[in-house]
Amino acid sequence: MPARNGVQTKILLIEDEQKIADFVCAGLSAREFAVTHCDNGNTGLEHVCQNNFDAVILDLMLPGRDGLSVLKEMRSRGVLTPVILLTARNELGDRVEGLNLGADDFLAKPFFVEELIARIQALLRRLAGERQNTLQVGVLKLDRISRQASCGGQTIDLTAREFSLLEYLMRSAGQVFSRSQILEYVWGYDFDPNTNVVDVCIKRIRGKIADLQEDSDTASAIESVRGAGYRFKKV
Amino acid sequence: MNMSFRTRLFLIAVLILGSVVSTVLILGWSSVLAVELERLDKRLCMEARRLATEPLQLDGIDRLQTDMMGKLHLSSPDQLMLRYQSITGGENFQSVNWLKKFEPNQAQWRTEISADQVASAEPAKNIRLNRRSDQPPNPPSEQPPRERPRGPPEGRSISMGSCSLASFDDQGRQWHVARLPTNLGLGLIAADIADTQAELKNALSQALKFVVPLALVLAALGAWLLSVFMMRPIYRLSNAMKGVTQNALDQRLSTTGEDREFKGLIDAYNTMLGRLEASFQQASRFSADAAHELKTPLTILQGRIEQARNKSDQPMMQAEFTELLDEVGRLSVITRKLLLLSQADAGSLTLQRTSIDLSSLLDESAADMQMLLTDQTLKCDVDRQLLVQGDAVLMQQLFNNLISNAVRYCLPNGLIHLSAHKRGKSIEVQISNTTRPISVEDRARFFDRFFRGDVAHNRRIDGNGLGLSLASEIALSHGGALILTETESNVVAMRLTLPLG
Repeated sequence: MPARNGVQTKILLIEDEQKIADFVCAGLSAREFAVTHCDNGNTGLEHVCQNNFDAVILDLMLPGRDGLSVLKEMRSRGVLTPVILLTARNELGDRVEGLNLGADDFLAKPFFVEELIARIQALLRRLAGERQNTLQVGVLKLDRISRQASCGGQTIDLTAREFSLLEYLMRSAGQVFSRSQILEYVWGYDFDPNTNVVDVCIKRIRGKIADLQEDSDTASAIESVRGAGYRFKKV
Repeated sequence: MNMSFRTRLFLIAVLILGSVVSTVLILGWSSVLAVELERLDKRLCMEARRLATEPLQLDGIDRLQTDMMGKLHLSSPDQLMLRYQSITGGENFQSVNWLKKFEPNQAQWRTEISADQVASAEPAKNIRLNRRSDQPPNPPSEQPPRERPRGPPEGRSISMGSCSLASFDDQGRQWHVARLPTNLGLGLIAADIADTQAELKNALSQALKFVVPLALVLAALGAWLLSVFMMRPIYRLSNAMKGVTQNALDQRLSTTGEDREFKGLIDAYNTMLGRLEASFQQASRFSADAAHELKTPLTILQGRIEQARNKSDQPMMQAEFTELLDEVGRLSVITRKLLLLSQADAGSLTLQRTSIDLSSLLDESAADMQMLLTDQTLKCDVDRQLLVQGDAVLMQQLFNNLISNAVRYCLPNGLIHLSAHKRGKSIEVQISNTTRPISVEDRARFFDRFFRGDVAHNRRIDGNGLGLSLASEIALSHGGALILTETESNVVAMRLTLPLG
């Protein structure tokens, strides 16, 4: 995916904290992205206006010119490069303001690099005009509009939580998610992290898929990774 | 006593004004009485002079008596006693009702009015004793003609001594006696002033009937006006102070046009407000700074561990890293909660309000609980179409906290009850669960930050003790409330009220 027609996807990271920039760059490079790093708002703005990036990862608190101001200025100059905001401050307020100013997505610190990559990929797919309303891995297909899951044409009756969980795993198939990651994404904040609600839910989804057909391959598509969490098997 | 300051002020003012009015009345009345009595005494002296200098024929006594009665404003002849003692061997007489008891020689006389004064007081005869304007005393010119020519016996001139006065009581009657000696004899005249006093009292009570209520009404009116004027600046100040909320701490009250005393108060208040604003700003800046300072190392920690996990190919190490990541996650949850709590304290919690269907949110929560329960029973009773205006993320957090607690602390084979109903213009959600008995002291500290009851410690239940206090703040910021209702010690019931949106 990052390399399209032999051309690497170009990402600009505007982040003043060197250590954060280091592992983000490392994580993105490992997935074949071409990353450029800027540690201040003014040079970041120049970069984004002069070069043709596929996406910008923009930190909010920056020396020189803060993130929201960079976003506002680049949009007013007609630069439409998609932007993912990294928020650290007053999350809710900045999120709203950022989205109003033309950010495409946001991610609250601390974040997982894998999550960031998933967001970038989803964003690029969306902008490339790919159909986003269905998500298919193998024979499993999710209709994101009607929130219906189907397996080889047969509908699977999933609850809202089960659908969200399956969607989260399938969106980044092949990637391992820990229980607390899944819990935070699917259930939101402040759900007792020590419950086994994730395990129970996964067990139910597996059961529902297994009920449909005797295809053990599909039912075992959700893999348990011992000690780490769960992963949807990449086809 | 729990009466308002204004009422107290009013009552005190009524009391003060009332006592001033009654003092004035009493003093005024007693001086009127004294003046009237003095006037009566003078008149008595004049009449005594008349008696002493104009000895009458016996048959003239009746007429004299009637005349004197008129002048002294007496209503019955009983109230007047006359006596004339001649020392030159002339006629003596005394009225029939003369009290034997009264011995002029034993009485305590006080010389009040000298002969000159009596003479000079002559014109005062015309001064009416009191309000009986309809019965003017007979002017001297109208005095009935005497049978004997006036004036001293031939060849002898009359010289007068000074008039002395005495008073004595007899059977409830108060007599005032005037004595006027001359070189010819001694004139004694006594009048019962009970009537005069009664008349005065009567007149006074007549006046009081109107004056006292009027005075009281005026006093009350004055007191009311006083309390209104006293309270006006206080009300104005308190209204202005009410306008200063957590979000508008930069407001200052204006001192222009205020009285000096209130200027001092306003200055003190403004100073306090300034300090409050400074500390609030410091607190919110602190939380913003703290969030940033904590989140940067947390982000680095999480990113590095994730990187290490992805590089590792040993399942053991991967599991180790995942556990570390969970701990970092816990740390960032606490950071986030502290940030939200300090924002709520500073009144700067930003809500992104949308329409939320509480019914479906609660259905999901109930389904979550159902997944978690093993041998416990869940009872659900949720109305349809419960809509609120609220922040979806915070609302979800609130319910996650409540249901997590219910599941966490519910006893094996226990009961969890979730209900949500429309109550007028608000929605009432109640979540209760059976638990190990919880003391009243522990219950009182439920919403304290970082509080974790014995139950949590004993059962090694995880948590940071921030969830419930944040849940309460979220409810408050949505215009609702989260309270712990009173139940038996083995039941915990939380009641959330939210305005219907």
